[in-house]
Amino acid sequence: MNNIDFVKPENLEELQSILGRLQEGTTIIAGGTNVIPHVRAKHFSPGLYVDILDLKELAFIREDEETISIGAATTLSELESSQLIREKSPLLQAAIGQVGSPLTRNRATIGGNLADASPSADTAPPLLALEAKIQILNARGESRDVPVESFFLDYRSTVLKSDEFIASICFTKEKSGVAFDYQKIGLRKAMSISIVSYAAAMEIDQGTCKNIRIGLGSVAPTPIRAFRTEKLLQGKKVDRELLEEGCKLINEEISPISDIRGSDKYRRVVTASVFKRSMERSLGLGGE
Amino acid sequence: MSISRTERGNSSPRKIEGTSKYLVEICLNGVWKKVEASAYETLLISLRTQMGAREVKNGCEEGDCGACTILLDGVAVNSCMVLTLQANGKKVTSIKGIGDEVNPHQIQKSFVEKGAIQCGFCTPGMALSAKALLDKTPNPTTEEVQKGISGNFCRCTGYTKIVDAIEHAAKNSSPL
Repeated sequence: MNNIDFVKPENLEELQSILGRLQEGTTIIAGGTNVIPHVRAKHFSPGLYVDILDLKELAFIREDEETISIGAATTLSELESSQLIREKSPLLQAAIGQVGSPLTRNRATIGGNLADASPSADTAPPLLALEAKIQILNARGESRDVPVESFFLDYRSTVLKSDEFIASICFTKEKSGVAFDYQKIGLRKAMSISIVSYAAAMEIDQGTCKNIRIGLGSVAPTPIRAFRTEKLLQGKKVDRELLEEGCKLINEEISPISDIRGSDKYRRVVTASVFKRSMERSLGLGGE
Repeated sequence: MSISRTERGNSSPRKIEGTSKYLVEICLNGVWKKVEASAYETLLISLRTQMGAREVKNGCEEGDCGACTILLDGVAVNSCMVLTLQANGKKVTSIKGIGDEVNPHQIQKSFVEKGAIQCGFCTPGMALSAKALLDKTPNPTTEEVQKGISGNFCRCTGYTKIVDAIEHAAKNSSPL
C-alpha cells in the first residue's frame, strides 16, 4: 500500500471536483473507523483518500418546522450529546449511544455508518423506523433523495455511484405521543457488533396500533423494514394472539445467517422475542 | 445548529516531490513536529516510530482495545483509527502530555494511589479516556465512569480499582 494519494478538500466544490475526475480507487474517508480496518485487511485498495471529516458543510444538526436533518460527516458523539436529538429523536440517540465506545463515536460519522452498509449498521434500524431519507450529491452538484429502505441493495452494497456521496440524512419529526423502542442484542454492553438490533416507532390508541414502523439489523444481508409484520399489526387491537402471529411473520421476513456471534436459529428466536417483548412493553401488556 | 469544529488542520498535507509521502505538521504535547508519512500510515505508527512517542501503546491496531488512545484536539480517539495525514495541523496529547513524575496529573496520582495499575499496558490509554471523561463530566456517576472507559480494555485488573481511581480523581480535582 505504498502509492496512495491523499487530499483534504476545503469545501464542497473541491470535493465535487475531485470526485468528478473519476480517478481509480477514489475512497472517501471521514472518521476512518470502517475504512482503515477494511484497507488493513486488504478488502480493497484505495488509490486516493479524500478526507471529508472536517468539511463544515457536512457537519450539522438542524431542525425546521417539520424535519430534522443531519450532515453526513456529523460524528456519532456529536449526535449523542446533541440536546436537539435527545429531545426530538430519542430513538436515534438510544441507538447511537450503543455503537462501539466513546473512542469509536468520537470519530465515526453517521454517513460513514450508512455508506459502509454493514448488515449490522447500528444507525440503520432507527433511521428505517423514522422513514428517513438520504440526500445524495454527485460531482456535478446534482441532488437526489433516497429513502433509507431503498438505499441498501445487498450485502455491503448501496445505490451510491462512484461520483456520489452522502450529504445528509433527514426525517420528519414524530408527533408527540409516539412510542419508541430500541433494542440492541450483543455479546457485550459496549464494543459489540449487533447480533440482532430492533427499532420501532408507533402510535398507540387505546391498545390499537397505528402507523407502526419496525427497522431490523443483523438479520438479513442489509438492514430491513419488517413491512409485512407492520401491515399485520396496522390498525388492529393488539392482543397475545396477534403478537404470536407477528412473531411467526417477522421470522418469515428475516434471513439471518450463522456466524461467530450467533446461529441463524438463535437470531430467529431472539428477533421474535425482542419484537414480542417490545410490543408488550409499549402496549402495557405485561410479560409472561 | 452547525457544529463547531477546530479551525486548525484544514489544509491538505503537501506531497514530497519524487516520493509517495506527504509532509505533515503535528503538535505533540505542545511541541510542533514535522513528519513524513504515506497515506497508509496511521497516527499510532507515526507517533511510535517517527515522533518518539513510545508511551502510546499498540494493542490491536483495529480500533478495538483502546491501548493507543490519545487526545486529538482534546478529543479521545484510537490513534490507530486516524491516518497520520488526517492529523495535519492538529494537537495530539499523549499520557506524557498530562503530567510527569515531578508534576503528575491528579488522574495519574489517583491511579497509583488506588492500585489501578498492574502491568501498565492499558494505563496510558485508560488515563487519557479518564481525562476526557472528567473534562466533560467532572462528577461522573459510577455508570458514567464505566461507560467512559468502555473503549479501553484491561486484562489484568478487572476494572474495579480503575473505576475507584477515576472516582477518586474526580473528588480530588480542584474545580476549574
